[in-house]
Amino acid sequence: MSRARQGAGAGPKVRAAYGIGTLAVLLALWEAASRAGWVPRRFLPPISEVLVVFARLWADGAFPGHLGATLLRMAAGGLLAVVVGIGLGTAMGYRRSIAELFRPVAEFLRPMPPVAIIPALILLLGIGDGMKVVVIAFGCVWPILLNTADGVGGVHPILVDVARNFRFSHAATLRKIVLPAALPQIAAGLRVSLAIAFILSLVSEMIGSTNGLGYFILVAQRSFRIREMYAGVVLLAVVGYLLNACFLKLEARALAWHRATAGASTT
Amino acid sequence: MGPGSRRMLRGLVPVAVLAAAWEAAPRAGLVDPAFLPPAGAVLGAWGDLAWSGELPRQVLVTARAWAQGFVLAAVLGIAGGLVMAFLPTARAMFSLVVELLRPMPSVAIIPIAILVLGLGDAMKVAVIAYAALWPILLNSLYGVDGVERRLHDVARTFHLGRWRTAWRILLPAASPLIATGLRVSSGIALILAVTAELVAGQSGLGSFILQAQLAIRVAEMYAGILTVAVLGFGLNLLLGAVEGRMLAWHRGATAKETA
Amino acid sequence: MLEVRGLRKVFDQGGTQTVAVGNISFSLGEEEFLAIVGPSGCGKTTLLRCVAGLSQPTGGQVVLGGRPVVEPPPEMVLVFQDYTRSLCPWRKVLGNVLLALEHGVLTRAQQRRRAMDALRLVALEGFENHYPWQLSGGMQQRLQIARALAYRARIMLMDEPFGSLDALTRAELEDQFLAIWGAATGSILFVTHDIEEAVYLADRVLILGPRPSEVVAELAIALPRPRHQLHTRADPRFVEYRNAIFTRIWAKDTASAPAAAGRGA
Repeated sequence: MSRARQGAGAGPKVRAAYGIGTLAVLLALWEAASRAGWVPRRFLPPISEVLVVFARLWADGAFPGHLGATLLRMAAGGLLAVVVGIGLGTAMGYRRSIAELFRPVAEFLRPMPPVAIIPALILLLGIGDGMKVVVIAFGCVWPILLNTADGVGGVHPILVDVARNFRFSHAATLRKIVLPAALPQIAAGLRVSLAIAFILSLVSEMIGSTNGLGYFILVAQRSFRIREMYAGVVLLAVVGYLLNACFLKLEARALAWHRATAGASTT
Repeated sequence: MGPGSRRMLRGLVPVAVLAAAWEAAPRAGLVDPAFLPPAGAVLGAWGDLAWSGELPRQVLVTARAWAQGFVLAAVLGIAGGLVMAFLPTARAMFSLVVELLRPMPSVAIIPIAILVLGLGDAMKVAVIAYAALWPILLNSLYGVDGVERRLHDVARTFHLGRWRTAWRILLPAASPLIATGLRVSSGIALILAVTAELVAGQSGLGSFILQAQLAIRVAEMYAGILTVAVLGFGLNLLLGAVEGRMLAWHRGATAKETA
Repeated sequence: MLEVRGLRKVFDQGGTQTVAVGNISFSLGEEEFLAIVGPSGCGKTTLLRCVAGLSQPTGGQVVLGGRPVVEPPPEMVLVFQDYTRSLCPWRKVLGNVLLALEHGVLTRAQQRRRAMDALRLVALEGFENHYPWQLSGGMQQRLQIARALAYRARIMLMDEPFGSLDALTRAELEDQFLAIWGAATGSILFVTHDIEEAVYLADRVLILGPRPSEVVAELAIALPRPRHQLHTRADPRFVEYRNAIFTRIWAKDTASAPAAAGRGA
């Protein structure tokens, strides 16, 4: 067992202790630095105070309201991106002509920062939810589209032969063979899109909105409600963590077969 | 006409269609030309802004912040990732913190950065560096982790010792993944640069686009957006080429029978 | 029952024409085990795909029960050499067999029963809830065969099905497959590059020449069934057949490639 890969002979419990210990030390430092005045309070209030405000904002409905708004926009934009991305991506994977038609445009638009179109969308759609949903969809569609196209296009020809041998209809082939085979790739695209949706929801709220967590933390900063700002940031960290963890769990469940296949050797 | 050029032409069809639609729809009144000017007007504004030096100036501002933030992120990311990869104690200490911070959307840092650093360039660079840090750090860490067992064994057979193993074998073997991390981060860095400028900036492309929107100089706004798109595309191409170089031997060496 | 008349397949790739199959004719009767051997690259796989209706021949015809084959007919089923790629990794063993049955008119219960019957035939009973990757290579190939059996086709087309297996597993599977074929009904069209395997398994062996391929010769195998790995392979007639086929293939080889004369043994 290579030593470079193990914590100097330490077992998982010891490593966990190190991790938690470091976190605790950092949090304690935060509290101390703020209370002792090493860092100005107006820049960094003590974490204890931040957590109190966090609880209050949660209890009085402010956080649930803003969080709900952000998540709803993410869901709407994400859904739109999924429908377009998987739909068009499947078509691109099936027919080379369609792929050749759309891939160059997709490859050009994918690296473009979606935030840049927000001002244009504000002009065209105002600062309502429509603008935000479009931005989120625009940012999320590319990973989904390209990954679906790759996944569908990469289905092994033998599997397609098997489907034809058994005389499956196109719909049956799609449902039973192509999409399951492409699922690992599609899931990878969805994972990236989740992070993008979150970021774009927040940014669009920062630029033009009346609610949502992005709006909340920016306005808190502008009105010098610093503890509320930090509470919002903490909430974003927690939500980000939970969204990611939930997605990974779902993905692991749906793709249990894939992980195993990828790891096993075939003789 | 060979198949390659036919393919390229087919790829240009949607571009041509979009461009034609962009020109025709505002003129026909399908879209309000006040909010979406015809493509020709936008290209005209683009040309004017490029010629007058206004756009190049803004591009430089954004690019400078991007470069500073990206380099800072690269240095910190690679250093941090490698430290965690080679020093098991450091890894045990910081893994939890990394796992907790990493899913947090980096834009959440913006208000904090504005609070502490004001609205200027320092804020921008800090935000960019923070956001771009993660892919590089994680890829450096995973890159070293993912080095085949066999190479470790080879190093032990030749009694290379810890540090020479790291320098001569692990780091080169990890470089493709690190290069990928750099490419991904370059895109993130640009996004955050434009975002920071949109939210709070005084200069740069993001700020330019926003000012144009507020002053309803619509053609100029679109010209700015197009510039951002081209910039993003160019950066991706550039770092993709670098990554491609690093991955070339990697792809060849690890190619197994695939589909 | 199945007739292949003057089959010809030419591939056109960007200007260059490759004649994969030159001119092949043969017939396959009911309950017959026909093996096809030939050097590599002689278009055996292409031939099989044309017979199966997956590929359109450039010339000639495939006639099944009097009607030409233009698309995959329900009377035929294919077994591929690359078993891993032909199975669905996201389905368990039972699910993989069910793939052949879901499209038909059977009820769920009937489908399940037939699938279990097929698994029993290939001795995979008990593994229904395993994933393909949990099975060995030989077992995965048996799973593919089970799926083909469940389909109840009259003709099973097999493309070097045991070619990816090690020698011991291959011998085991050859015998198991012969037993299965004895229990089930149907004809087998079996493509292989392994001459001994062809003689061991088949009633009749077709020998193909190199590209552009034609049927060079045909051999009826009059060895008794059931076949046995030790006895049959020691039978002097086995050796005769085997030598005859080798000679035929080598002769065609050197006859059509005089520049290659001078290579070692």
